[in-house]
Amino acid sequence: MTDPMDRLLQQLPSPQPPENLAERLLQAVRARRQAEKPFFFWAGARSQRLAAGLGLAGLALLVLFGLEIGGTATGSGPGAAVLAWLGRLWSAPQTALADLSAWWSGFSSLAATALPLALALLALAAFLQASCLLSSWAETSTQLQLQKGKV
Amino acid sequence: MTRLGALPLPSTQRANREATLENEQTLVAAARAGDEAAFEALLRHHTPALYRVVRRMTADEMETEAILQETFFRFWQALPRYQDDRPLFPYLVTIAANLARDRWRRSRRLSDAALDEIPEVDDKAADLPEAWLLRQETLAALAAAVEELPPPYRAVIALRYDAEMRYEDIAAALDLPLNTVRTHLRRAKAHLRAAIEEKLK
Repeated sequence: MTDPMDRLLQQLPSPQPPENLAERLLQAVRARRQAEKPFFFWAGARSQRLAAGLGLAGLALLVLFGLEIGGTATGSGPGAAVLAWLGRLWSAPQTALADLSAWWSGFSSLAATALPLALALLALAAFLQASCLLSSWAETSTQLQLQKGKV
Repeated sequence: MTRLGALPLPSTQRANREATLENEQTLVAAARAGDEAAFEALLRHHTPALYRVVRRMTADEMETEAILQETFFRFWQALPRYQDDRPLFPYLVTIAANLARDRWRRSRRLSDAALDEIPEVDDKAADLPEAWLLRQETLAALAAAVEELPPPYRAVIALRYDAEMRYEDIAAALDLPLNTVRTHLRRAKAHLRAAIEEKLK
């Protein structure tokens, strides 16, 4: 910048901020944050990590349950057994449910605990993940504007 | 030019020096994780430099403060997806410049069309006399002349000289074509030159 006007503009005295400006801004921003905080705000990054952890734990328990089924199953594998039972549920629901009850009571305590726990963990993970998505959705408009530089 | 050395430190250098924060990335990451103190530290650190840029762009103190408040609030909203590998200050300046631009457009104080109604000034006028560059009166006259510029011209002056942004970044911040930014800057300087000459002759 060799233009004298450029040099002058570089020397231009800067406006000085008023006292306590940062303090006032901080209070105002805090107040707005409290006022406009979305319902699912707290489902943030930490909740997402928690959801991932719970999901993995649930999957691990499902695998454990599958292994338990595999260990006790005779003849055909668990997949074929499930398909056969679904066929019976369609043709003779009452018989199929009675079979399920008998099948369930025949399980070891480990498998009987693992399945509901796995399903509960997966459900909780799905809920947290949905919360995170809702949280993101609530700010979609702002973020799109930010990405486009039209804040 | 050593003669300029006696003058105060340029506003641009002051702003940039204040905007440098060694642990900024750490603070941004902490603020994103919900650390209130980290957000406060970022706000306190960037407020003075951002104020100088925005105050140059806007008409009055209240408008400046409103824009700053909205800027930091939007930064907080954007924290979950903010890329902390880039400097924060230019990002804040971009938000503030967009807000200022939207305010001009909403208030219709000066649209782009209205800019054409401003009388043209010969921007090929002779350079300012060298002796003027040493005079504090020149800076005072210049500061007053900048205040009287139309908002879009003030904005490019603030972003170029207070925030020290490149033309491309100014164009992006104000959502203007690059050539328009160059034209605004050229015309603004021509007006300032004419205003100073008028006041100091």
